[in-house]
Amino acid sequence: MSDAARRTVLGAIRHHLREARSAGDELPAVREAGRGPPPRIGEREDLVREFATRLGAVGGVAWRVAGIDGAADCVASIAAELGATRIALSDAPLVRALRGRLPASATLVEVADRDAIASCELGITSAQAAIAETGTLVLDAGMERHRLASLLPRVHVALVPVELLVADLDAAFAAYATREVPAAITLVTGPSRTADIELTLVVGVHGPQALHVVLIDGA
Amino acid sequence: MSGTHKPMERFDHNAREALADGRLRSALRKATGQFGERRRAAIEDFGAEEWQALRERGRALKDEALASLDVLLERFASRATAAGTRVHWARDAREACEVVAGIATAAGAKAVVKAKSMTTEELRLDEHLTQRGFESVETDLGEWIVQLAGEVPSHIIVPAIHRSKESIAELFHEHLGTDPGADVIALTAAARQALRTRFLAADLGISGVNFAVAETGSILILENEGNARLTTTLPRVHVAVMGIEKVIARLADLPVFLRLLPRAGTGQRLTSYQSLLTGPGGRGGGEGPRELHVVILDNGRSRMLSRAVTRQALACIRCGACLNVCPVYQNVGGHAYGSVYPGPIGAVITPQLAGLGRGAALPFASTLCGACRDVCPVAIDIPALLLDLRAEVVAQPKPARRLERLAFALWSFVVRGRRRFEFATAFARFAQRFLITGDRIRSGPMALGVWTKGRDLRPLAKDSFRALWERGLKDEGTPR
Ligand code: SF4
Repeated sequence: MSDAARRTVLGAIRHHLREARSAGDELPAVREAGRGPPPRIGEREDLVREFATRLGAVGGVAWRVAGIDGAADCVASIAAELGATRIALSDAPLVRALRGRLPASATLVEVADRDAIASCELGITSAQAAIAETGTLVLDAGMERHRLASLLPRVHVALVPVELLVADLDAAFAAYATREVPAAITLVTGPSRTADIELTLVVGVHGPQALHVVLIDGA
Repeated sequence: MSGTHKPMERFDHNAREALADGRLRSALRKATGQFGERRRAAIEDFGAEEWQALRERGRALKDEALASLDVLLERFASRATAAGTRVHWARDAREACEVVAGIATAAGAKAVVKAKSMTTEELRLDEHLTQRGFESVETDLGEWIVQLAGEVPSHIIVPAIHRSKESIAELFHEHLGTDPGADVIALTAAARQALRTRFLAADLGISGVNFAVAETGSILILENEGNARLTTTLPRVHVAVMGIEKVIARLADLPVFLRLLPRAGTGQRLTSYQSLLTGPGGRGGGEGPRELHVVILDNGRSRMLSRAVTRQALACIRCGACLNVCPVYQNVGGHAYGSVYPGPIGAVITPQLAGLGRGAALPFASTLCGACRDVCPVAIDIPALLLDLRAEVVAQPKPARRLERLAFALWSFVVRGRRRFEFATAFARFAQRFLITGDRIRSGPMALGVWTKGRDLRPLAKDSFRALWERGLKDEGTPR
């Protein structure tokens, strides 16, 4: 059935496009290259500032710390304030390095099944890039196992070395011109949100209620 | 409260009902007003000129993609297949429903979760799956509320806008046993909890597609709530349904649309989440579904390619901006259109997808004010499309139109002669005295009476412009 459907649908498209051409419509060809302006390049400090502003505008929190020690302190205090008893960790080296530096009372859940991750209050991942233009994290599932840890717990903390900041969306996608596109790339901009009841904004619906991005110098 | 399925032929009747619903109207005004405000602010912030250039680029990219649609769809299908996606094709709604039900059966699925998608609503996929014994749950908060209540969406971005929080609290109390006085935050939390259980138990996730990238065989889904991420990550099997027009050429084109769509739709710089999916992630112990299926749907779309005026409607990225600025939609809302696609673009697409027999009233449900064209992020000339469709509808012989044709023939005769026109307006000025109440004509005899039933008419000015001009206006206000 599917092959007949395929042939019919493609045949219909060709037929109607031919009709358009014979009626004198000029149908533009697909250009080889994209037609956007080239990706913007920015000074590191400007990018950090822009990223933090954009993230703050959508209810996320940006932190800036020095080295992995600074990151560990920052995450530990977020976890303590939250009173997190179960923390999901992704498999990124940067995240693994936190083991032993988080509150001893919390159970660490690593490379676990979804039910285990769903029962955590806090999920910690890294990210493969961060976009200043929109305050967005780029989560590349080909590089890290973080699809669930960034989604199921109430609070998501992402560790991002400042070198991974890019200026805009174009730069983020341009990275895949030379890299294989993985099964999932998730762009995350702030916590989840809805305004479905009387247009009242509620932060935290199906996804996390809070998002902390820890920008690390010298990670 | 108006919330159940309406046959689309009865736009006039439905609209009257909606207009009588004061709560619905004020809720709609608030929603459409707010989205309009935010869109304006977002564009101002972006820069009006830059926005104009971006719109043109977006439209050009869509036009190019539509002109090579067959090539790009084949490229998409082959790259997606190479990445492990199963690609299916469907000529019409029935076939698409069969494909999805077939996938569900083969997967031994029982519980289905759905992320908001207009295309699956167009298919009435829910009904079909329910009939086949699958339990399908909408997971977007607004859509879920509407589903619990057995209604249909009244607004595309805020589907349950016709319901007050009190009535939603009542509904949740009935279905979930929550406090009948719960506030919005508590209601949202209750929904999260109830739906989280469903997500974890579901075997099959169904979503739509915002953009399909030919170059990489990827699909992109935009959202704010996180339900689409859950739908496309947790269940074993993910089925995404897309119209043929969703395909674009390159990954590098996405930023253009990611800047256009959220700004135009909700005034956001970017929605909270975008999922770019290329093949099933769950193979070999990874996270994500073990099967990813993409269903490519025609259902009347391909024939819109044959003429420039209809082809442009396929460039629509479903942002909803044209609905929010439409004076008709602002007053009657989504229910009255009796179709999945309401508002200006709905009035254009519905008759084409469903055929002109159905939805023939919709092209007339517009004042042709042009607001939709001005806000459209891909610069679709919706008024031109509406006129084109009106011409098609009128060209169909229908005895009921005889009076209307006679009236227009008379009008055309009168306005083509200066004497005739002056005589007619002089007569109208005299006659209207008997009809004016306050400063408006609120009712009239015969055909005029039918027209004024739903509208007020401004009377003719006491003197015509020509008379004022002759009496000395021409000496005033000369350009300095
Ligand atoms: S036609 Fe309407 S919904 Fe479609 S892109 Fe234009 S404004 Fe958005």
